Amino acid sequence: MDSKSTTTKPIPITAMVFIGWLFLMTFLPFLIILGMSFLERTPVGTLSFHFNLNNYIRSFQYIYLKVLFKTVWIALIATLSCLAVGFPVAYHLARSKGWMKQLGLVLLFIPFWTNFILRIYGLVSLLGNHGLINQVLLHFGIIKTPIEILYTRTGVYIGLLYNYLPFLVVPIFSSLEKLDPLLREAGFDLGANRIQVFWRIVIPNIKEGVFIGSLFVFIPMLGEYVIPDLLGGAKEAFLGNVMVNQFFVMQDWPFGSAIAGLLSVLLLITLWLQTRWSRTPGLKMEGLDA
Amino acid sequence: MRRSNPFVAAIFFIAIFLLYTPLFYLILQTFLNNPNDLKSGFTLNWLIKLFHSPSLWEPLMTSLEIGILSASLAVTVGTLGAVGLVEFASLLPVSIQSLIMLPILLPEVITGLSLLLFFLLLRVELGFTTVVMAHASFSASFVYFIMLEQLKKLDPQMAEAAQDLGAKPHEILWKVTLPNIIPGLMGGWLLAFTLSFDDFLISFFTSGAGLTTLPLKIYSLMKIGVTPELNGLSFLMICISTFLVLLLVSKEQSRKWVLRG
Amino acid sequence: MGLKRIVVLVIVLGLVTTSLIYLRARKTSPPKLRVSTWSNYFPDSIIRDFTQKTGIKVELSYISSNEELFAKLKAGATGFDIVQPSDYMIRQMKALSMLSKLDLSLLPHLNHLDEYYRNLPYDPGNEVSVPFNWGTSGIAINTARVKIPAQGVSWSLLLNSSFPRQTSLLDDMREVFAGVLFLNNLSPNTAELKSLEAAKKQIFHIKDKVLLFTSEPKPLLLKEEIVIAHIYSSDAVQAHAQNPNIQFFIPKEGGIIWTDNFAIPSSSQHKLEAHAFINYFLNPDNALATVRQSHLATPNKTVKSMLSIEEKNDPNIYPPPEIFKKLFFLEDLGDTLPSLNQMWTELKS
Repeated sequence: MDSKSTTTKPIPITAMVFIGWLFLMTFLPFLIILGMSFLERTPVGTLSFHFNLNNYIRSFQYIYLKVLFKTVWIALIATLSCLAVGFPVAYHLARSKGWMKQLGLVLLFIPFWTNFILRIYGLVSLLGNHGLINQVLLHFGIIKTPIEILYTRTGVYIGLLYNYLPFLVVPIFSSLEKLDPLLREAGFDLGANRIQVFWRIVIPNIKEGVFIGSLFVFIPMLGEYVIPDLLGGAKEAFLGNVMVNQFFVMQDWPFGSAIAGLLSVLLLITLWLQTRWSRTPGLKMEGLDA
Repeated sequence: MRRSNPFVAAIFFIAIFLLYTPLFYLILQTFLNNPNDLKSGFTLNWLIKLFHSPSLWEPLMTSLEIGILSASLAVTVGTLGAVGLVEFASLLPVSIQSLIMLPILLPEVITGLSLLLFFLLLRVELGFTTVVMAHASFSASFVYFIMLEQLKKLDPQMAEAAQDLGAKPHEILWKVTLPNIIPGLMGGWLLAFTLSFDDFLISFFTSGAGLTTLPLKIYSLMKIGVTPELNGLSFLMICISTFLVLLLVSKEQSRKWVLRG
Repeated sequence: MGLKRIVVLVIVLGLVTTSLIYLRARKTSPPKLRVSTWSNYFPDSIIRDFTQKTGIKVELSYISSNEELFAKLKAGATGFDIVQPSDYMIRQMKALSMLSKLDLSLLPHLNHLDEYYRNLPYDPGNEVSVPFNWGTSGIAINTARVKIPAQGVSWSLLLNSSFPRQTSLLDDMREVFAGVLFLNNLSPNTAELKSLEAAKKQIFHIKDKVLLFTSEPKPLLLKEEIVIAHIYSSDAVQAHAQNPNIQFFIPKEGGIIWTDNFAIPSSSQHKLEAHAFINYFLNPDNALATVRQSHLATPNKTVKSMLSIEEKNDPNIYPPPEIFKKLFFLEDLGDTLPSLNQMWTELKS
């Protein structure tokens, strides 16, 4: 087979099946939701095919912007906490050897392959006023009254941290792995101390991995809607909650779609930032190669 | 390389410990007489009751059926894609690359809602078929990436060599080609099955009123608060998921995908 | 070339899979009558009896919210023959012609219904719906932890809570606003923005004192994570059965009454059988078993007369007349609903 000729060859029919499938089952539904966001809901609840930007204008009202900023803010803090915990974890993994490393990685990921709702349920029974943590602390007399974690903002942060941590660890881990140990040694030889080596050599070389990893937890957090509901006691809505509320309670599909549209724009912006940051062009998920 | 410093190691071990606490607590609760009281003594009753209860078997069978069928569908579509694109993979235009990444990147709520709207507009009856289709729609891309790597390793000259040595076409298929791609197919299938079996949000949006998968059952029990039954199901679910992950890890092809969730 | 063989193999796999999906989907294809209901409404045995007597096969499936039912029915092709929406949802579905007009001549047992339930504000004259059972929403109190005030239970117990972070509100904007409006001596169906705005401020003040918003407070009440809950009577009665200290009250200012109904979607292909099903469960002998299963109140006066004295006099299920007078249906707010929803979003932002 002549490799030169492949560039001009038409895409074979088998590939068209796959691309057609993706188009039909992912892209088309996505287009429908975007298209829906330009329609309008009539007072009786039917759809009016009058294309306009009203839903987007409406979503720029103060309260929706407030929800948007709060979602971004909480996701940002949660991403930073993931980073604070995830970095040492990745660092430790990258420094361990052989089977210890493999075992560590697998151990880190097993919980994330158990069902999402189960993990949430586990956290609920752990964090409640009568949950394990409070039972134990009360039993040993460390506290007098239960500490309130469940159904507070802290509960939401814990839920986000718990559910997204590994997705940040892996990209950092793999960029640490790629870091040539000789670079660090060269740094030491040139008289740098450990702190200098860390800030001048390690950090600049892995910042891309850290950044991509952060995006990969930040984006799905923006769309989160179960965690604020079940761990936050439905007291504070994320953008995802407002969106689902519009779909199911208000039956206002166009406005719900507009919020989905906004979320997608946030997604595109972050992806665009990533392609600008990353040295390799295109959508290549370099940081994720474990 | 020097050892990690003790402070960093401590954070690692504490993190791992904390990640497992909620799950171990759920398992422990399954065996407590009173699930909310640590001092109430152990029992196997809840588990025995669960095995006689239809609230286990029906959702479990539904989840298995959906997992098996959606994984097979995803393997079919994903493999066709990989076979067709293996020569082009690195030259694909950004638009096609983005299309392939889209199901992996899109937040689940948006995937679920957009599929729901899609099915509703097409007037497809929500139920078994729609959930299978929805699951296969997001797992096909994962299979594609696994098969792509497997096929890149496949040397086309091997088949030719076999032919030159006088092998008949069906012999080439069974003895040369298949052994070389089966690991990829298995890895991709298992990954797709696991993704389907664990999925909650997308099933939640695309299942009709009559269909209950295991995660959906757990969710509704959690809402109405039937604790012992719920803990038994959780225990079972944790066992199955852990088994599946270990299977995935044992296969070279799917191992690194475990680390991507 | 090996790739071609893989393609063949995979296509075979694809064909096998699709045919299996097709077979599995056919297996679940509609039996004679598909009924969408709430869990715990029909005992299995009574459905078997129905099939035996009428020869009509029935498949029950369960929904978890009216909104879910609405979204799924809107597709028009869900295959349901009987649905059980609540009162406000009947109004909404009726407005969109999603329900078919009932042929009352096919429902001779309708005369067992109490007059009150034959002319409800959301569907006068049983045009598209027949009430199946009804309940209320009010306040459940764990009396072991909270002393019942001598002057009676008021919405203020929940809304000016002296039990910070031990209370819950229903995660439903209409219900929560109704509670506050009752406290302010207003109708729960007030569409006046000024009153709603004032109610919003009141809710905002207590939001931090409430542990959570949830429509299923029962498990939390039983675990004693909360001691006062805004709750549907059906859940309260079940909680009471498990812990007698948990008691249900309709506050003295008033409460909400709701019904779950039988209705036939306009898309149903089996309208005749659906009428037979409704009529069967209007028949007092059959309705009695469903009432005893769900612990909800029946609109069927003949069935009520068949209940034991204790059942009939359970104030949690059948509020005494002086309280019954203070129960209101939630009515359509029309154009005000989006504004109310915006306030609700504001409360949660």
